[in-house]
Amino acid sequence: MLLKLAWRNIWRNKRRTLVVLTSVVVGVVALLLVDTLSVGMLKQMVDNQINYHISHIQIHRKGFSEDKAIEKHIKDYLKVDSVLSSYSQIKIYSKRVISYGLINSAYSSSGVLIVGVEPWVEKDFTMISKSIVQGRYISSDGEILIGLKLAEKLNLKIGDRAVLMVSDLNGNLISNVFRVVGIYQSPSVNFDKVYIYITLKDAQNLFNLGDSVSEFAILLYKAELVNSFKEELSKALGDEYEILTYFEIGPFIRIMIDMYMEFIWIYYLIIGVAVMFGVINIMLMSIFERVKEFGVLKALGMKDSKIFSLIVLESLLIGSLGTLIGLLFGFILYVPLSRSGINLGVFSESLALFGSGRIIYPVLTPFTLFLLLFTMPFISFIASIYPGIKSLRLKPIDALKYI
Amino acid sequence: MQVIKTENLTKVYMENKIPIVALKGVSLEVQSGEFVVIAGPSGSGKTTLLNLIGGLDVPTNGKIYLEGQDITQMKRGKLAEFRLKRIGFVFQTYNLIPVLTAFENVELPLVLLGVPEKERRERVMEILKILGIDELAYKKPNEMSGGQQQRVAVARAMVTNPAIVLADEPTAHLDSKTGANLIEMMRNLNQEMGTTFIICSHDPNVIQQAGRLIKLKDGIIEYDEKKI
Repeated sequence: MLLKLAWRNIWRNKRRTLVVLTSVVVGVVALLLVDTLSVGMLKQMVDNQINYHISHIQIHRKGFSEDKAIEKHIKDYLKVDSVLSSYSQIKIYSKRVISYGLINSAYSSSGVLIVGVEPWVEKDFTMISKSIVQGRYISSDGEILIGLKLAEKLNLKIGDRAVLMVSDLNGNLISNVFRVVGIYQSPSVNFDKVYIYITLKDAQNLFNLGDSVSEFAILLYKAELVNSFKEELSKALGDEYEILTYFEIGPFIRIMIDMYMEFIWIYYLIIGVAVMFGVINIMLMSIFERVKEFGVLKALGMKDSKIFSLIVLESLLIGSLGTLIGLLFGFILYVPLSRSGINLGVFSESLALFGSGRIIYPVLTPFTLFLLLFTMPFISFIASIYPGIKSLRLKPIDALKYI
Repeated sequence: MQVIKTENLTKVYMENKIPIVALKGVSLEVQSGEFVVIAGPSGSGKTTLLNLIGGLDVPTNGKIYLEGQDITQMKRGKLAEFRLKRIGFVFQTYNLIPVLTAFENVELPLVLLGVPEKERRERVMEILKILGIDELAYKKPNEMSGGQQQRVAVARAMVTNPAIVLADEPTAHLDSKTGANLIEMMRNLNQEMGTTFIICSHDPNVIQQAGRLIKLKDGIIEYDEKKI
């Protein structure tokens, strides 16, 4: 009966209810788009970081992540290799030599991070091979792949020669000539300026490493299992290695996720508060119009708690109905956008700095859906408290006299 | 059996910081099954007395006992429950809930009492039939005449089988014929069901039907006589 009464009460003044419902609907649609777009952008950044270089898990010798000096190479690489080959959770893993160096062209020079890779593995492993804008991916010794920004800075073109200068394992200054066979462009400008690729063999020779490597990069079938798999690996390999998940490797990812978590509350708060005042307003108006009726209900013997519940229920109905309609409209917009993406080409340069592409695909997560489902009903509940308290203060005798 | 007893009931209102004495030490006893009409000019304290007996207002001084219980000492929640179970109200302006049908308006007190749905349906239809308004069951107040609405209000007051029905000027907004019919119907209910009625009115039709007439003037009982 209370629900029936509440439902009919909200439709007493149809126009007013429709106005406030519209504000809830617009709020839900706006939140759905902002949130799914933010998640989409974040996911793209994380995926790009993982897919371009980081992978899900990296294994190094302890201390490598703080100082990528060549001395921090993995001496017992055969043991790691055999341990990794025994896990079925691993989709693919790759051996890398990574250390600092200097690249020189005829025009200029630049400090870089030299990455020695097995081209036939990395070709399927990372997105770099699919991000070639000029030339091709490295396939044999003596070849080098560089980023577009670096190529522009050094004025290097396909077929040009570049000299890599490094300090080898024994501290000797070694330089070697490589031919530029490809230029790539990842979504991150900073990445393109720093990472250059040569073959694993070339890197091992350059740094005088023998067959040793400095990193094992692992991609799992299921990204959500990284933490449990990391623990499993730690047990199997012992404590002379540092085993890092992509969260730990890319502090940027963590910062972005933290930022999203902080900002998204602010979005919800701003839109929620705006809607809340609308709901408070109409609930107060509706109560002032019905003072006499509350007097009648109280005189009949309806307890204050029931009248309070009636007002809360009316407000909750508006919040819930608005949420459902808002979600419906939101999905109508979201579904095609999640397929086609939203082209933010105007901001492509700044997006590239953050490691995101210019087409953002909104992503709806269960967390977002949960927030969307409960925000407006919760806001409506909060909005009904003050009007509800107002109704509690009404004395039946005064309410009955109210005109 | 005594259902109502008031002792030295006084009510003083403050209006613009000036005290206005509405009732001056009214002591009254009403027995079960009486059909009491409280008459008197405007400002004589009729409605104030009715509101105090109904527990809608609190006296400045004095005691009110309903079925032996001192309602002036009851807390708000307890008093609301007492009103729900033992008192029925009929107001001057009907005061039906406009979004509910006649059936639902009458059903409301039973819902609040927690009566099961099947029993509610039976009791509501029974009282609507007794009052001759069962065909209006699914009409909303704005689809009914004043007289019909007031009958629904009487049905709402009677459906819980209360000890007392308090009616404040129930015929004030009705034409004399409809008003006379309504009061006759209330008198019949009083005689057939034994419910105690206390009605405030200065309508001659109502006064004529009174089993006991109490006249108030300036907050004092001026006249109290059983007619039947």
